[in-house]
Amino acid sequence: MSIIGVLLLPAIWFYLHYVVKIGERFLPSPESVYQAIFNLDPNIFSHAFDTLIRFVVGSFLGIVAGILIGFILHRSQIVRRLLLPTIQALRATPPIAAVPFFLLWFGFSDIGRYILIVFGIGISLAITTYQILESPPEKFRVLFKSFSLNPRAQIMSFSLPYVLQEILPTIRFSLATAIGLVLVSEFLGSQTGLGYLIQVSRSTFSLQVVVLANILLGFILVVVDWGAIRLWDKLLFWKKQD
Amino acid sequence: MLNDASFLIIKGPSGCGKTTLLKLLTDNLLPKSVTELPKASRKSLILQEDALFPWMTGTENITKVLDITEKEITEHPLYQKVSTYISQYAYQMSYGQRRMIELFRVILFKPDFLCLDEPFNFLDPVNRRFFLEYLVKEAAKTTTIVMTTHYSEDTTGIHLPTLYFHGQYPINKLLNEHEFKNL
Repeated sequence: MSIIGVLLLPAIWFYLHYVVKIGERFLPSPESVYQAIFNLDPNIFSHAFDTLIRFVVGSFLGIVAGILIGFILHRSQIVRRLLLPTIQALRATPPIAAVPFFLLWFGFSDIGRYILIVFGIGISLAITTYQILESPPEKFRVLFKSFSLNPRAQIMSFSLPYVLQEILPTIRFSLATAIGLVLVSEFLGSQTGLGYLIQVSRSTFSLQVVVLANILLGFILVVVDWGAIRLWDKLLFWKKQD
Repeated sequence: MLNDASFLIIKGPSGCGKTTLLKLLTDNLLPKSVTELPKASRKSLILQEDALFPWMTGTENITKVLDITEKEITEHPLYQKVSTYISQYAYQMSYGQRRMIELFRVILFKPDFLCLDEPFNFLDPVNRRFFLEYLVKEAAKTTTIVMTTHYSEDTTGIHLPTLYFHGQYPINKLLNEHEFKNL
């Protein structure tokens, strides 16, 4: 069944092009997309590699920063009172809206792109981490009270494993956000990457390159998402028999 | 009643408020109108759902929660009951094994006031009896214990002061054995 699922989208593409006969200028043919792999200089995989590195490094930094800030918010009442309202307000701002500022402040450098991703996914991960830690299940709240433990001090024995257990869905959602941010940052201020390639190809009506870049983006996201799930399976060894 | 007994059983149908009462007694819920609650410096409550961390072994679940060494654990008379699986991760244990580790942990803690909500769930009859007798004969020497149970056979042959919830929620009466028998 899963093979059918993987082949469904290509089958629709083939059907639309060869049976419905949608024109090349609206939907490039599989052959022209295949040819595009060899007609680009530098090679499209070089662009894909740059995007992959930006995506993986930016996402990793954003996830670590977000979880760390969430822990600090949970631990420190002073930090919580100082920063939580600002963080909540920033969360309401779509990170894409801040792209012009990042271009202004950091130019076309990769540093600006990484900071954009950290900002874009770190804030929601920080809030999620904080909320996970603030509302543990009743059985653990009763446990802490029964044994006179301070739950905020149980970082390695409770907080970290519990956050890791609960946060995977938010991380997967953040990965989808992060690849969008990489793409937007490459649209607006880059000389390499799949976003840059899509931007240039759009202006030259090279739709076969746009389709190829989208296929590679989807592939990158699926592989990184799969890697995150496998990594979590290893980290959360106790979930295997749940 | 609590002042007169070191071990008290509370019985009643499902949903009548037994767990809620235990949460109130151990300050896990704040009462709106009741003002007199047992005063104790160390109040513990064991809920029906086990509260072991699945990412830790049985031993770690004790040493990381209590200020206690492994030597103190192994020297306790109840250690023999759990010795065969205490070094396993909690997620690898059966429900009954987790329950026994949890009972062992709270017995090691020696609270002044202990509430147990259906503590023998998932235990086989032999271990149900063993832990009840240990709680009554040993733990209750230093700890006031309040325990809920559905099962009459748990306490067969041991006479323990018992209160009965009368009716369904909202409950307004707790009856002693004499009042309950004369209903």
